[in-house]
Amino acid sequence: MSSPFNQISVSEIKRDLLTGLIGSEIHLLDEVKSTNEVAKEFASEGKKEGTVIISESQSKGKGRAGRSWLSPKGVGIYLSVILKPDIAPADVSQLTLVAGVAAARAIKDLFHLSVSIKWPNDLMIGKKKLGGILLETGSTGNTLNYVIIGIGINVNTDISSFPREVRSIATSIKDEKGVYVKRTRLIRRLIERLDVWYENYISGGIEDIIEVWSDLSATLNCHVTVTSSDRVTGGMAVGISHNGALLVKQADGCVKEVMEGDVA
Amino acid sequence: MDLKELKKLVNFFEKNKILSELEIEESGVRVRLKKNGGGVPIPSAREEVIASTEKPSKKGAQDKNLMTIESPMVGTFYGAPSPGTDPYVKEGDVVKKGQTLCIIEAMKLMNEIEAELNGRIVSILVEDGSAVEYGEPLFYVEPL
Repeated sequence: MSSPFNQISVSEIKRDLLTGLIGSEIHLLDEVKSTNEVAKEFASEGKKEGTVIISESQSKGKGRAGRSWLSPKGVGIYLSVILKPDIAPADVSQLTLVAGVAAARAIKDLFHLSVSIKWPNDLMIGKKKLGGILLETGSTGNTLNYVIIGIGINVNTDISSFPREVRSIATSIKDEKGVYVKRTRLIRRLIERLDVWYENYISGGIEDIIEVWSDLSATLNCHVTVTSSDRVTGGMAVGISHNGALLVKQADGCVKEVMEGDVA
Repeated sequence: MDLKELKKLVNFFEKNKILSELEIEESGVRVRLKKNGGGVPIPSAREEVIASTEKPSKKGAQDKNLMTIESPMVGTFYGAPSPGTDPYVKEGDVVKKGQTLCIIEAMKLMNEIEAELNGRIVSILVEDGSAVEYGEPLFYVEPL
């Protein structure tokens, strides 16, 4: 699958790209530890908001809480975007929702797959994980210095090549559609969707995004058990708060806001 | 300041060899801690809590001119980039402005807290992996 057809083409992504901010600068790299790491370096060097970093592979793709994201060469999308919004660190979790909505909609629109979002931000097809989103930010006091949105998607990934423990819980667009797809097209769509939803968020706030997120959610109206570092919360997921916390209605009727943890 | 924070403060005071006296004022509550000559802390014996209408100060301890670095968000405190790796900073470390001190994680969002000033980490107030509130003190830093 290393035919020219499936190589990522920056010129093709940029051709007639109608975005205001995201994708103004696009860097395609062959192999990096993690695109988020490169984006962080670029952000500290003063690269402008909207800069996109894409890599053909990652040797240390990041998941949540120091976990890894398998990033084999030439088959997935490993992409990071630098943003510098004028918002407080306490609100930056809203951008997790923005990124989730943009990525889910891009895949859904382009490939007609029934993608859903598992709280906070796993891209799912049924019970299997198709992609993930990891935000990394830096703040000094109450000032946000930068936001990196990292997106990893299994596109033409052969899930049977993954370790046994991952195989049953992961999927790829190729495995779902039965055909290889062009990554360049999806990257372009992703950039466009991110641009639209980010602009919508900056100008209009989080309400629209919460509504769309809720429609895409695989977590709401389900019984959930959320395991975080120091507690387990069980109950019915009844909604999300304005900053994206999961609202879990417990057996005693109390609604608890959960900001982190693994949902099962 | 609630009981949990007070316990943290007393714990910090007990461990710290430099400080013999510490006075902290936050949200209108002032706490003064003093060790006796033998270096054994006797915080509760000399503790006084005085209600005050003064505005809370960002300074951790006025005597020593310590700065408090607070969490700007709700989340989980991580002192190291990933489990099993060296921590970003240890007590006693000298840090530069902009240096990463810790990560606060919430909702798949890792926020690196960067030092607001050049200084020395006098105390780390939160345990690795514990939940932190908005505005919860994370570090006391002695400006250098």
